[in-house]
Amino acid sequence: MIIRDEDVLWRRLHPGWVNDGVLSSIAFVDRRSGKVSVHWSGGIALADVRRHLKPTQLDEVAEIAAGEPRSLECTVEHVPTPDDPSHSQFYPLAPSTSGARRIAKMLALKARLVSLP
Amino acid sequence: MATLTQAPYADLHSVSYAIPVRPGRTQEWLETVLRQSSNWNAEIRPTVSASNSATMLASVLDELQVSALPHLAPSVGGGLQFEYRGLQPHGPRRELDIEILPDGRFGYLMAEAENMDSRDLPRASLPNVVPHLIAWVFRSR
Repeated sequence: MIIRDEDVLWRRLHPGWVNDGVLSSIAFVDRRSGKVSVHWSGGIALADVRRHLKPTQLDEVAEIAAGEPRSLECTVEHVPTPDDPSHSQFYPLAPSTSGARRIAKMLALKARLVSLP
Repeated sequence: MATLTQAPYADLHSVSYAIPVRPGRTQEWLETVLRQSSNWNAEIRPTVSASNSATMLASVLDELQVSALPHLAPSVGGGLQFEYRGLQPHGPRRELDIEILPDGRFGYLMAEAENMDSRDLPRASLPNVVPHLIAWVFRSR
């Protein structure tokens, strides 16, 4: 399915990714696969994201429009899994560690923290 | 205010405030945090290489007598990031992120609002470059 620029993406958060209410850039970095996993709002309601929380994750998520990573030359794609039909991911078209760091910082500035209902 | 879904958890942030802030004690603080990292979620648990590099960075910071403790943020894949925010009273605050990749390599990002510079940081350059980065983030304009 096609994710539109205006569609919202939600990133689940670990406690160390929020410092005094400010989102860390590391929230938008994945040094394992290079692909940042998110929930696509076209496939799940915000309230249902809670079902996917790991025991130590926060009960708030980072929310960002899909157009933001696209504007930073990232691919955004819907990659559903059996457990999570909303699973999506984004990643830089030209991967580099320093480039990913810059993109992550830009996204952290644009994202907002949203409490799960 | 963010809350945890399940207690107890070794919250990095609360750990940093549980230890007195004294100049040149970054290593001591880091050791305490890393000792608790075995309780962290597997996807963010730091690798041995990242932990060793973090200790190396902490020793450089202690030599500089940096009194402010960083915020320590783990990355998916087992890396770590030291984060400092400047205290500039006017205009956007400066921010410095020193990232340690899961394989132990270093990189950094300097940010002043949307003005950013991100580079790899060779291990051998650490003692020469880190003082400039710290001076930049805490310097008044």
